[in-house]
Amino acid sequence: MKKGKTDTICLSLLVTGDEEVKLSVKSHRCIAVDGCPNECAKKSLELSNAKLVANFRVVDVLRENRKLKPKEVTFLDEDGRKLARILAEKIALKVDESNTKGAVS
Amino acid sequence: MRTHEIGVVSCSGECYVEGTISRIATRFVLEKLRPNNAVTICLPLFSIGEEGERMFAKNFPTIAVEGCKKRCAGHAVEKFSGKTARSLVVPDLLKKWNVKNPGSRRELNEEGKKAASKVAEEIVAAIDEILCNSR
Repeated sequence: MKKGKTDTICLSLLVTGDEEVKLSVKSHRCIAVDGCPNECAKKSLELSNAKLVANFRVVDVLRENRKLKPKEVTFLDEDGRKLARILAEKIALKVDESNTKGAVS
Repeated sequence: MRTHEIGVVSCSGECYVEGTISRIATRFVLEKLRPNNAVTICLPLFSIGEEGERMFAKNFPTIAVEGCKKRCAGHAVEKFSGKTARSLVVPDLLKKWNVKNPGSRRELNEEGKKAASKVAEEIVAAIDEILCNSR
């Protein structure tokens, strides 16, 4: 969806304190996507003083789409793929908004 | 002491397909191969300081499944809880098995799924060895 305009960073590297990744999140706008309510991605970005412009939680997307009931963990089933697509569209929209507004610190 | 539970700490990275293989291999172990012996530890949760995860890794043997040479899983466990019992580095295994095209980070192809199954077998071998030695 936003190939060439976005990149992903490895959360494991961020939480284990990789200097290159810490510098990267300070110098680029970041969107946190958390798989559970513990919000490790968001918290780790905040702790690293990252430019956090938005955060999403999969549990919220599930609540908003109660008809979809993904069951498989290892490989996503049909409902899991639909939810992933919905979340991806939300993230893409936020990327566009952020690009329009410019960097938010 | 007999060991009933072993923690498998998988790479949670999104930068390389080897991270995807690490996670899927770990799921195979937990769901199908050794559901009664292994639990997984969430690496980000562990690293940001969740005490339950850290206590588990202090008290039970852990196997780190690494998606790249930076070896975040093993480093995190050793930093916060103690030495890992085993470490598997997926890119080294793929090289050894001559896996050339496992698919994308988002979705493994057939070669990637087969590689994940083989990594799962390596994890199981490590689990069985640890259990055997603890008896």
